[in-house]
Amino acid sequence: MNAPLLAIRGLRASYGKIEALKGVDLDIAAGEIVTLIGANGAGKSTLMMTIFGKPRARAGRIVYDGRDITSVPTHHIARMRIAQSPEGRRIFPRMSVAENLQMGADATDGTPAERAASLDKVVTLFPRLKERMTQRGGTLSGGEQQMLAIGRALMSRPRLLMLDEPSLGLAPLIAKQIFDAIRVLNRQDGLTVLIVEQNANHALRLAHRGYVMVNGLITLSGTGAELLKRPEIRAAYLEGGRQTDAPAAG
Amino acid sequence: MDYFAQQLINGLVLGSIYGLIAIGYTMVYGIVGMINFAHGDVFMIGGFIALITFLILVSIGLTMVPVILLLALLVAMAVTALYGWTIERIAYRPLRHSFRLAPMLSAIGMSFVLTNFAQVAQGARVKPVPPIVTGGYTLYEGPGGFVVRLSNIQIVVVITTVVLLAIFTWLVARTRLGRDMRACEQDQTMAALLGVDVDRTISMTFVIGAALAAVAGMMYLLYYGLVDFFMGFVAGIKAFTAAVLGGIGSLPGAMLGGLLIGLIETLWSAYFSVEYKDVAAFSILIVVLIFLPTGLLGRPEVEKV
Repeated sequence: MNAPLLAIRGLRASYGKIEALKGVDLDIAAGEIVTLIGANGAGKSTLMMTIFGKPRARAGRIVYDGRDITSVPTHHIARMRIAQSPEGRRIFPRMSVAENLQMGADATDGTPAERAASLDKVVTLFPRLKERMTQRGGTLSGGEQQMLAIGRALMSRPRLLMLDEPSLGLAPLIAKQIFDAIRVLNRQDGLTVLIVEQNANHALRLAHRGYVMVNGLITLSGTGAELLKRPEIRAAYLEGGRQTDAPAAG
Repeated sequence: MDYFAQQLINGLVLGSIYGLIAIGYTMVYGIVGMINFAHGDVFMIGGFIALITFLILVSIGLTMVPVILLLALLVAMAVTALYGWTIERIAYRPLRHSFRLAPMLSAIGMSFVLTNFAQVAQGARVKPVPPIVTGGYTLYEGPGGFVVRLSNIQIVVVITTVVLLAIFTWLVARTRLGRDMRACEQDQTMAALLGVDVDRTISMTFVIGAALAAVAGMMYLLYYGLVDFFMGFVAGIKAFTAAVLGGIGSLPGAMLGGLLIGLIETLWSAYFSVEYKDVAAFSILIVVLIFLPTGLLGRPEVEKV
């Protein structure tokens, strides 16, 4: 394998006194779709945020495209064409859909032509956003917000796209649309994708490779198909995952 | 009726000045969640810088009033903006990740520093200036000899306010800086994830707020014909009241609140007593905080996610 687009070694990070990442190693090669699965609270979202320096890594290294970005300021990392659709989507609620998308484009200062091309791509993937352009982000439905969060990330013409639970709270049909869109972007544009998922079935099918995270550590890795076959994965994240889809008791 | 019309004009002019200051309070509150108690003193500094610039321009022999006014306005805005930037940099930014009250305490300290600095540097006496903009129009002459007048200085104050507000509104709604400011106001972490330099954006917020306060300072100087080192205190609290009345965090609210406080104060002085005009203005603050905590145009804290 060539030098990976993103290489993470021995990464440690904490929120206050709670250590959320306890020495994570992870590689993503250019053009790959990598899925990171794990239970709620395993540290998956923290890993994505730590790549952006929020929170800062306590130890370890993050190398993106041959450059050590472990202590680069967050807003500089965003300009290096890594984009993220974070946990909770974090749409700007009092900005219009169009402005939310513009915020994404601003991250990498594209020319007007590049911006128009990105916008075109986003509304082709998610035609629903086109109808909602002037509406405020906060008034969108959950599925529309998810599309907007992914669309906003795509507006910065990323080389590495990181998606935190893109199917969370979505109707199965819309979740499928989103996964299809990711596959298209990967095949057509060679976009490198990291997907964090709690509900692993879809995501592992889509992925070239997958990692399993437990309590802030990577415990397993392999191709998507390999991981799908392993009984402990099936027990913990597939059958179990289906249960968590049901409304939480109590 | 004529008397009322005259008071209405006076109130709107005073309200424009309060509104310009109130924008600085509400903008800073929106983006960093603190009340910048030194903002009134930034307004005072703006008045002094306008005065100093006038004197320099006149002493080097400039006589064209519009040119003097424009130059003084630009210099006052630029220098006061620098004050705003510096204050944020040395007094607030180091405390940004401290406990919530820390920057506000620092702001109160900064307010004392600016007041005393002006007192030491410029003296404690009131600084009068001869009227620079004179004349006006008689709108109406009543049978009882009562006249409704609109003076040129009032026209200057209102037009300057309207023009600056238009520029400011355009900046916030249409430019990239404005978009970044709104993004930081709504979600600083997400803004940073999208490449927004949050520190720089916060600095720019202080710079713009201070520049608008400088405009208010200069208008005050022209309108009342005086400045003194202590004028930022009461004007600042009134403008803060205006911001709360309009809904803290809301930019149109700040302007609306400013106009209302200006009107209330003027009408109260006209019909009741000048001595208690501050009581009237601050009673409004108390009533608003009790019955309408989010102000006229404010929004409740809860957001649909």
